[in-house]
Amino acid sequence: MNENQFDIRIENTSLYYGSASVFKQITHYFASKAVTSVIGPSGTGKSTLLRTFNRMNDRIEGFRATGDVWVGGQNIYEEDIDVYALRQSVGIVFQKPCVFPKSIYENVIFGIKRLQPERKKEFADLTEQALRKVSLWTEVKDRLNEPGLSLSQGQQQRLALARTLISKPDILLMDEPTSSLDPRSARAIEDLILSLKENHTIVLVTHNIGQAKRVSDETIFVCNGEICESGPAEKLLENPCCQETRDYLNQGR
Amino acid sequence: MSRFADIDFFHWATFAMALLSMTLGVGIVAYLFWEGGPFIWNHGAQFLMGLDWFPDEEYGAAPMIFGSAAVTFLALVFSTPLALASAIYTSEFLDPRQRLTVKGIMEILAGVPGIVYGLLGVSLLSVWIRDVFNLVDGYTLLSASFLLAIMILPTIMTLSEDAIHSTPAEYRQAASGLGLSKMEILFSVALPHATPGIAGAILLAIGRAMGETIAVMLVIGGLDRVPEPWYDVFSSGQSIASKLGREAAETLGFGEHWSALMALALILFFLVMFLTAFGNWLIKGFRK
Ligand SMILES: Nc1ncnc2c1ncn2[C@@H]1O[C@H](COP(=O)(O)OP(=O)(O)OP(=O)(O)O)[C@@H](O)[C@H]1O
Ligand SMILES: [Mg+2]
Repeated sequence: MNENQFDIRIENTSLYYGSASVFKQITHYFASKAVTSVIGPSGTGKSTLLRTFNRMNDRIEGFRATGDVWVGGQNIYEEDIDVYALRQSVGIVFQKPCVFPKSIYENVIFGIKRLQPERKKEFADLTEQALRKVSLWTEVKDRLNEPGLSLSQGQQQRLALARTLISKPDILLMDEPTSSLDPRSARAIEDLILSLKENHTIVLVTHNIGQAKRVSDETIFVCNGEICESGPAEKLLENPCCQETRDYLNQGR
Repeated sequence: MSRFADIDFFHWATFAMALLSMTLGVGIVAYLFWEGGPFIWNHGAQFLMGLDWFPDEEYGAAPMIFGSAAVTFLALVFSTPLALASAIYTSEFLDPRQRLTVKGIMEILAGVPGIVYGLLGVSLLSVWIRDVFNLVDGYTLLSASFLLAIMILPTIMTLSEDAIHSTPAEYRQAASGLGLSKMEILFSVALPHATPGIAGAILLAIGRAMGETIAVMLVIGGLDRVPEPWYDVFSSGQSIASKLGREAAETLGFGEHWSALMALALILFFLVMFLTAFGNWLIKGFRK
């Protein structure tokens, strides 16, 4: 593994849907092994930006990225990139917990079962590790064969996270991972994020300013197709310098 | 005042119509039982397993039951792979407009009357089969199977396509986020999700194939015999539906011959009803 495995850097990157541009010429170096939260008004392209980092936008008709997007030491929009391997090292968790209509165990190994079948013997151990990382092991260890959908929403989100973590990604992308959860489950996920940043670079999209304050080291504020402001979370959220950021933060109060 | 009187009248009028429709449905089933039930009851195994059918002497339904089963089975074997492959292609690789065009064409094909397929079967299919396999004539079990395969293709294709296409986008997105390729998503997410719907589509198609009368009648040859050997698909045969179509008018609606035909109809009715109900349940049940 190279030493850049935790890096995300975008340089003069523009993102488009068809002819409409979402971001124009943005540049940012994301902090390694830290949590960067992305905040900004709805529809400004936070999800689009996040999905750029593991090329999940490839599925969308008309999407285009220009400029350089360096993730884990690779310029990922170059031609010879293995996107499937990329997505295993850059995990993503979505807003709505998505659990397949299968057992808890089958959900955790869903990806590696297909992508690393040769490691079949390790699956049980890997499952335990992954479920421990998301603090779900003690709750589900006796019911691994029960349907994943029998879990609560909060547990389902942790299950989805375990499913992503099992392939040992270095980078984690989270798109409003707590916005469909109750406050207690949301806190549980926040605690997880804090425990995971030791070994992962995490980019977290959130509309919850309190959450951004609690978990992030750095924050970027996006609006009008650019990164208006970025910096240490504390400073940016308490004492923003850009007028748009101030307006946005004040709305939430 | 008068507004409420109207509503009252409307209520009762529609209720009466609904009751009439229900009564008709129940009445038809009761009539089938009344006419065909005793015959099955009295002749039992002799009727169901009998190999010969000579009106006023003996009534053996085995050739017709065999014929229906054989042509339906072969039609499925020919049709299902093709229908599933095109369903997958349509759902996964066509853009929304092309997809709707293909679906529209399939739905039109599914609605083409059986007699039209039957005529094409006589003028084209049976001639080809005769020439390709060097037969005396082209009216065989195989011809009926091919024709049925073509007739049920759009049903299987379009209903399976619905099932595959209804895979929630979140499932695909989650799988894609884990690094699965389009192919892997198809096989480990979309097809498992669609399995009940595909099974339902196949059951409905079986129901349609079993019930199809005129098209089968025109190409199956009309011979009440289990082929010798039984797998000789180049022999002529008879299905339950084609038998009924051929002989119903001869019997004038009474007598033993008529009862025997009604007994066949009763068997056909229950097979098709069960297949259709179960198929619909699978299709709707999984959509919930
Ligand atoms: N598949 C798509 N095709 C075309 N345009 C899209 C597509 N997805 C998003 N957009 C557009 O791109 C812009 C950014 O969308 P995006 O979902 O990234 O915003 P967001 O910041 O995540 O919003 P929210 O906070 O509401 O989640 C929006 O104007 C949206 O209309
Ligand atoms: Mg979003």
